[in-house]
Amino acid sequence: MASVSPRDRATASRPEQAGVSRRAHIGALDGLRGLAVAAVLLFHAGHLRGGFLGVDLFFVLSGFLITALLLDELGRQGRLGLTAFWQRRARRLLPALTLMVTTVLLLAWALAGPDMLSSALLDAPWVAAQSVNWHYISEQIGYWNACGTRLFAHLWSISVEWQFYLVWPLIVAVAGRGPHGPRRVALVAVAGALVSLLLMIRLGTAVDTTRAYEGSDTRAFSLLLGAAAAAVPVRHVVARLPRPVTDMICVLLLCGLGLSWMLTAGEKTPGLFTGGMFVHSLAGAALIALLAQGSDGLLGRVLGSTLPRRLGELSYSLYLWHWPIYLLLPRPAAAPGGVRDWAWTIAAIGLSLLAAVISKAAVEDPVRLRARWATGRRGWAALVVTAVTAVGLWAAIPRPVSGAGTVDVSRLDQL
Amino acid sequence: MAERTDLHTQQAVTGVRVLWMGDSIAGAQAPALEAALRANGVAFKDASSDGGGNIVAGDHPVTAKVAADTWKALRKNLSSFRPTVIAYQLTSYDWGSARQQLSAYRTLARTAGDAGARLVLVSAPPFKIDEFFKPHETAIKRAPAMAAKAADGTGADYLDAAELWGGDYRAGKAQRAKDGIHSCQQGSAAFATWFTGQLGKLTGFTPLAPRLWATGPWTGDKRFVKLGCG
Repeated sequence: MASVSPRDRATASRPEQAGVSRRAHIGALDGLRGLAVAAVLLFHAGHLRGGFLGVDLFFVLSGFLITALLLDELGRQGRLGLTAFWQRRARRLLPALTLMVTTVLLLAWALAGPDMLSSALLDAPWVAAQSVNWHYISEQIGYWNACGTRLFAHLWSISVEWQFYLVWPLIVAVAGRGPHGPRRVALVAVAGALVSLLLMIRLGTAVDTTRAYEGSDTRAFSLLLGAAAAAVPVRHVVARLPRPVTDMICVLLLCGLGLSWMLTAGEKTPGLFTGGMFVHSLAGAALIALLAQGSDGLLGRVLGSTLPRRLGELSYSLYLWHWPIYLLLPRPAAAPGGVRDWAWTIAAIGLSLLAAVISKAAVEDPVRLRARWATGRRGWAALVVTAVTAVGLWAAIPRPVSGAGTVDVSRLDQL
Repeated sequence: MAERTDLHTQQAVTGVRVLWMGDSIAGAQAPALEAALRANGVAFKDASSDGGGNIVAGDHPVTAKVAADTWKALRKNLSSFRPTVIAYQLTSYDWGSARQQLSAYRTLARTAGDAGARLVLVSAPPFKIDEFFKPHETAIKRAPAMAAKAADGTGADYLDAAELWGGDYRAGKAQRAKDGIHSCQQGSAAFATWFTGQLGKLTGFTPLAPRLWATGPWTGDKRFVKLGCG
């Protein structure tokens, strides 16, 4: 779910190869990310039943961008600065996450019931360790039936991405060396994606599909297909296609993705875990590869226009904030799809946008762009103060006593 | 003090060991049932499932796989826990034809008999039939009749929980959680009170008053947190 940093943009767009402007390239991919986050927001609000596939598209985008970065660095320098890579990822992703988690803990303490607060306090350390997806899986906290009480339920995907960021650069560092390095990386990515698909098919037959849905292994194919699309051999194939053909394929692919978001009827849709999600990722990877090569086409210009691009630039913090806001904002008992229901949706998305804009302006951009307070000794001091505050807050919030007063014994005596 | 003495005496004498089977609906009832039965001197093991728990394989690949897992787990529990009572609450996944349902319930009765245990089949509470369950609604609604029929011919006991829950999941009597499927603490305590009474009649003990177990630590079980029960 990482957004595109200026540094990412410089390498992901590769203008010298495609012969188009760097700005147009990035605009199209940011715009695609904007569409994906809109789908997720609508899905979680109950208006787009296949909108959860937007997360799948995030994964493909991340796999593509990160791999493009890594291969570019490897090509230029002959080696990867892994520590610097992880530092950049942390600088980009952790400040917004920390701000959201601490603020939501405070809000939950003030506004939520004991079940929601106790779940948030229980989940927070796993969020911090970037492994909340495995926490949910091991505790059998089903994504599809228990997320209504988990303020951090959506962060499973952030954990999946982090785990990918930890492992994939190591693989690229080994497989990507030498003259045929990028080709080897592409082969490893495709092979890994196929293994991941087999795992999803095997695990997706369970009654509760959370293991298949949130597992880092089962979801790896989306990231790896994005990675394969970023590898040089794939890019060369794409670059040979005539522009009108590219444009037409792009439009068809985007229409296909949009249709799948509208027609997929939740997690029990036949075929979802037995290839459906894989095909979605594959289509997403193809679209991203094509847009990266020729985003000055019709679709590239539309996706790169102001609204989708701005939404894409906000997508990370918007994704972080929307779910807790959805849960904490009282929802009227209104008919789904009715006027009152849509009014709530607009209010919830509006609040999420506001929180995302504040987060980006106050925390993300200063840290990412290395404002004075976010670098050097001041930066370290800010990091320590933030960590101590977050841990202290988590420890200080009184643990609610779940279940107290929930049974009226006099009613049992009447049985 | 007299009640405490009764409790200790009863713990020593019932000799009843209950293996509790079912799906996640039964799972939400399990914490209360465990508190009630243990207070009444009955050994208890929760073998309910968080996803499935069915014994009817049917023709669906998911339920077929889950049923195979359930039978496998049952064989293990029979040897490790040695229950005197197997209580199976019909699951929301007991899909299949009438013949498949009847066959599965009869096989369960035979399995229990072979292990020297009594089988108690309990009908499921009414729950929300959403789009997922809709294609299987006929099988779900037919299952209690098949269970009753299986019990008739095999010496198993069939308990119709409709007398506790009623037949409409939306009614207050059904005591469903926000999801319309599971029960919260009050509903689970109600079931535990009712089932303990039924089990007492079948196995010969007099249940203690619910106030001796109904407000214990079990009410904080994480299953209720997941369900948003408070």
